[in-house]
Amino acid sequence: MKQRTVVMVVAALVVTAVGASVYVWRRGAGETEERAVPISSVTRGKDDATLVVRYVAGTGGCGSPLGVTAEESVTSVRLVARVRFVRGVCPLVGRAAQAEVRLASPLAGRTVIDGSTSRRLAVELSPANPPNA
Amino acid sequence: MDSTDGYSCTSGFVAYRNGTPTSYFVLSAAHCGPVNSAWAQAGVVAMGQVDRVDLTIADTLRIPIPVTTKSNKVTINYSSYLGQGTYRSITSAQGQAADVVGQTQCSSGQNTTSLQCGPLIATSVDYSWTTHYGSHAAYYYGREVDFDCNPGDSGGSVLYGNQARGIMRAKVTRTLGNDTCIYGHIYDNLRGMSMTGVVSTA
Repeated sequence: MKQRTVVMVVAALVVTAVGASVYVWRRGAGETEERAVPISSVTRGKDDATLVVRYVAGTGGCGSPLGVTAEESVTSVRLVARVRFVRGVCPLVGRAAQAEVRLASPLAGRTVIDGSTSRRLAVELSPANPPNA
Repeated sequence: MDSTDGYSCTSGFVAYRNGTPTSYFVLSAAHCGPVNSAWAQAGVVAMGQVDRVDLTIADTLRIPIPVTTKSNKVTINYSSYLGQGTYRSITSAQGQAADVVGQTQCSSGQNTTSLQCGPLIATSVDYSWTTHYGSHAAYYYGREVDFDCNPGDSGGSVLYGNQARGIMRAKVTRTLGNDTCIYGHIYDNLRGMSMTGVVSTA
């Protein structure tokens, strides 16, 4: 009798586990996607090779901030702010996010581009870090 | 618009309720903030405090505003980078169930740099979540539309031409970047807030 009960409990657990796995597989729960979002502002950091980038990320699994990457060429710097979404439906509430980007070489007048919009960005001067500081 | 506790959403249509005197409100999405949360335009110009939210069909909140600041204009093409946008005058609101799959809808949010337009692909999307302020919300009759949206766009105006059609709510993230957005119909938004209509004259 006791052995039969154990078998039934194990069978129930197996059925539950398989069902949960199928549910998760069908829903795609926990799977995430990265997306680029617009950049709000760019400020010169502690020197000409450091940029402070601000953008609007989201909350929870709906746009959690991943940071900012820079692709550099001789004439331009392309900044891409990225966020992560869990697949599915989620609310579009924003939270301010900020990242410091260290360039391979000083900006030196190169054009700065927002990778998500292809828009040219002006680099603001931080009051605490004026040019040639 | 930005809350004093660090969240951002988009302000939508200005609506009114007939009475003595007639009262005016800015509409946005209920999941953006609870009753008594305080909001400001661009983080600096105080708008006021939320006095009512509806976390069911409508997903709408309202912020009372003085009659002197009422307007039928909504912001489109807003650039957080420039801190400005362009405006469009609203002259009507779409009637109950007057939307059909395939109809073009447009929206522009605080964090989406240009007016997005695309076809309505579903009119009865149901889903639920827990808001960042801890309230459980279950939504029905969401309208799914085929264009993209970003965090911070909730509460933004959905329109076509000069007609108010709804308030932005959610993003549907899918593989291969085929993302869509969900908004609530303006009829449900107004009814949920006990509003008479959107302000449609200057």
